[in-house]
Amino acid sequence: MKNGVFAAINIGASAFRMHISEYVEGEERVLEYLIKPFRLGKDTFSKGYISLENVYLATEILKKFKEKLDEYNVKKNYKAVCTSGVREAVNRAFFIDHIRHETGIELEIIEPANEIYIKYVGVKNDIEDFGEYEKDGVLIANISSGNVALAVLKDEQNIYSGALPYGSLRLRRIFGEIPRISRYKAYEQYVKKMCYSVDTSIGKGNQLKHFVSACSSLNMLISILKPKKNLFRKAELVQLYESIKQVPRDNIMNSLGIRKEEASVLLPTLVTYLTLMEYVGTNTVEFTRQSFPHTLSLYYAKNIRDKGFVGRVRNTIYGLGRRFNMDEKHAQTTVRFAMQLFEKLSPIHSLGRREKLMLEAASILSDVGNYIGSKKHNQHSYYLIQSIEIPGLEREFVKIVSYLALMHNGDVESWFENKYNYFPMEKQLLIKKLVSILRIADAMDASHMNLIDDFDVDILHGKIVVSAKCKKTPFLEKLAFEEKGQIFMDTFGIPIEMDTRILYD
Amino acid sequence: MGTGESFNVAVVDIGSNSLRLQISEVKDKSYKILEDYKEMLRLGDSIYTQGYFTPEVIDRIVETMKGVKKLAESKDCKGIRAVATAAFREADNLVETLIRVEDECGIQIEVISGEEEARLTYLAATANFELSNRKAVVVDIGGGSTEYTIINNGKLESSISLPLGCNRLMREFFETDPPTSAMLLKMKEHIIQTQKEVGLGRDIDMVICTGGSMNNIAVVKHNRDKVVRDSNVKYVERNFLKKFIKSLGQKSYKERVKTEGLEERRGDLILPAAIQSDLVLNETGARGFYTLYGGLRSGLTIDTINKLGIELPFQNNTENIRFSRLMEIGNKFDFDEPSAVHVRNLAKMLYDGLKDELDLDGRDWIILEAASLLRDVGKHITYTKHHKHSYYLIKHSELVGYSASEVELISNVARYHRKSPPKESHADFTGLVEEEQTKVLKLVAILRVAIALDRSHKGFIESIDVCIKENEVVITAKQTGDIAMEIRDFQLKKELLDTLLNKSVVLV
Repeated sequence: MKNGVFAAINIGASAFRMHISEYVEGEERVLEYLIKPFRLGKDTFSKGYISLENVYLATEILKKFKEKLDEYNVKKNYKAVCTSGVREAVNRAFFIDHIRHETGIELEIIEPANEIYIKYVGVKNDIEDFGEYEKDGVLIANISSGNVALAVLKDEQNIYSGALPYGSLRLRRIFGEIPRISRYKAYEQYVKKMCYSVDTSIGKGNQLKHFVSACSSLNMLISILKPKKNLFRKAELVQLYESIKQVPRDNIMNSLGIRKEEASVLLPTLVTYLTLMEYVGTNTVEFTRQSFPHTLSLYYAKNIRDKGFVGRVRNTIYGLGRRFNMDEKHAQTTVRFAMQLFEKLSPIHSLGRREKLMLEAASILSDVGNYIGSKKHNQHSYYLIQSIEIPGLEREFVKIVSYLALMHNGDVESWFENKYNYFPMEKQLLIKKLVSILRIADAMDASHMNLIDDFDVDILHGKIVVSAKCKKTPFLEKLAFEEKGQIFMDTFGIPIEMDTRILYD
Repeated sequence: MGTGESFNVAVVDIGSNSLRLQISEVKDKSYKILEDYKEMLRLGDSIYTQGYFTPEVIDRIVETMKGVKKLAESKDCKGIRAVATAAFREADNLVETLIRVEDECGIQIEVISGEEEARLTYLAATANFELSNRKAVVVDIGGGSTEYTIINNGKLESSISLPLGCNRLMREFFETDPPTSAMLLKMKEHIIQTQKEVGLGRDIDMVICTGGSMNNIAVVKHNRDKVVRDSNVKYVERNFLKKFIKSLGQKSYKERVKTEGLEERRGDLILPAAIQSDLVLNETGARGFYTLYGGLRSGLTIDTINKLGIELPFQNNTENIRFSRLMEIGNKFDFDEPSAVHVRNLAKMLYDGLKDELDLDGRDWIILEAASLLRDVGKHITYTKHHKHSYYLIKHSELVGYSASEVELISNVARYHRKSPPKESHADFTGLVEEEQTKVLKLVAILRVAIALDRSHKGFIESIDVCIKENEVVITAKQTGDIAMEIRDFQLKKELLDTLLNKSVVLV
């Protein structure tokens, strides 16, 4: 937890927002919260780029934001992130560079998976009993102007995470030409298609129970419906929807007392809420009143954290393995052996907890490629693991796990000689250390029969001896150990051998 | 068997050269291979010289079967079905060997006839090739015998087992290393005379060769061409085969095994196998042959599954094995079958209406058909970038009835079915020759419109008519519901088709 003033800026597709807070010993004092409506995404979603005119206008807004940063003497303690309005523009690099040059603000593009993850952490810290929701099945939605980012959690697993191009402003742009009188039908059909996409990704039989919204669009709905608690009921959303679905924008604006920009996206926003409620099968949607920049500020200032992250990552990885039909018994045995070897060999590998989790993930997933084909399954495993997106887990982590799966059989050295010779030495060494352990662990259950019950590891002068206690003679394990153990010697400079003893002999 | 239930089966094929174990997972009327294990026993070496298995050879068989049993048990297989072919058939001490294996391993080996071998190979061929409207010969070259099977329009017409196994031929005719020209000629003459019983003729338009030696020839060829394709089916042109025979015929065993991709333990067997297949090509006039990896044991797996009361989809649809396999792959990756089939039907109507304008013909439809059915399989990995995942999964799935280059085209059409166009940096697209790139774009243009016409996944557009006019192409849709979304998406997705036709495409 950090003390001091921290600012967060969010360049959204329909507004720029800034939140400045002061943190003292875990207590937060909000100093400023600014919103400047500006539809930067309008260009991006219709033309694919941000017009120069809008680059200049955005610069002017951010100059004002910079003045605020200066006023609070915020030099580096800030995070400025851009979402889909910038992320999807072809001239995003120019936009970011121009802003840096003109205002000194360093903008970063936030990937959808990270965006929804930060919102998830915010929600988790804001809603009591959220831990129960994660077990029951919960859909977290960030319905923004450009995208609808969704995270689905069930049984403490992240079973889906993605940003789909169904944001309210984008929908408005796509169906702008359809007559107003029937436009709502197009929205309904289109958003149902989004649920269909989620459904095909998470697989059948995953019933959900809760729906939580963490969107910037909430403010508009709060100002209209004025809920006392942090939830909307389906009936009131349906009533609002029915009352506006064929009404001109200006009439909506006047009757509800909202801004023109808000009035034009109210209908697609409501369609999205109602469709997602129907998808989850709930009559309420809960929300947090925390704004995204506020959550950003709390997150980057390390004033909120993701409790249970490692457990969830582990559950999610097992879930992925099951999706690709892994041999779960073998995976569990390999994990047990790999973890035990990692601990016992700590004097020689000097790796930490993060690397241990990498090894665990690779032990679970290294054979998933069999689902595509048993020939070259390690290459298929590599491909499948590379495509994993677990919110909060860095890309580099996933990549290392994929390399471990790739090299868990075959000739490790030739991969480095022929394909990965550009990797820095530290990275090569990390992979070799972990893959050496993984291959030993995998070899010790080569027959997938759990023949080895337990083992001890002795680091002796000139060699390491694994003394295995077995139920039966592990012929295949011995062979595989010898074959796969070679890389261990090449990496650590010490041979590793396995002695076997039959239990109850 | 209900949805999701699965079990494993293990089959063992004990040939004259090698012993092969195949473990497969059977699930929802489809199966996938989990394990393919090989041990080069070379039983023919003792049978074709002494006529019986020596005690050392029997020990080797027993030890190997023990290992096989262990592997099968580790995969929770429902028993093991082991069959043995020519070497066992001809062993004087057959019964003694069978008893020893049963006593020590608990496995009963079935010794099958040459005709049964041919039937199993036929089963494998029907699972991997589209044989309707064709006359094909499957030549399964083993160590002791060669099984010739004639398949006419997908049905088994005749089969015969001839004593032309490569180990047997090698021992009978090659007295020196390398063999002299006279030895080669004598062997060729023997093969030609023996082969006459098969009745090979010019009406045969497809030659499929199976057996380890034939697969090894295909591997050598693909290594030479630097074509890395991990496929059960490979094609070898006769031109290559002739050069291969000429080059190997002049080399000794030691020189032969230096050939890239050639298995050391086949260095002496591969020449008789290559010569025999060349003589088949000569008789039939075919320009090359297909190889089928795992011929006999694939058939054995299918037969074993059949014996458990399960008929695989392609077996009740011999008219269209290719289509059945596409559906099987789609189901494996949980595709939305009704939607995939509807888009396929719309794509067919569009294709029929536009093929002349776009200069498409021949096998272009079946490429589009596969892409329209499998375009979304990548969603099984993630929704984001699913078009890229579809490319990968299609490329690495065993599509039946398509050549390697056609699979590449299908994968590319699926890759671009969304909105992003091919770019210079896309090596998988730029790797295609210009003509193929153009074909991919034409098929993509049709597919995008077909998808748009079922954007809501409701099948509201039942059928379409395509009318080509001077300056425009009019698509008339017969609708059964509100198609606002389809109209909107059509406007967004027709651009490529407009450009390629140089006409405006309109939907009415």
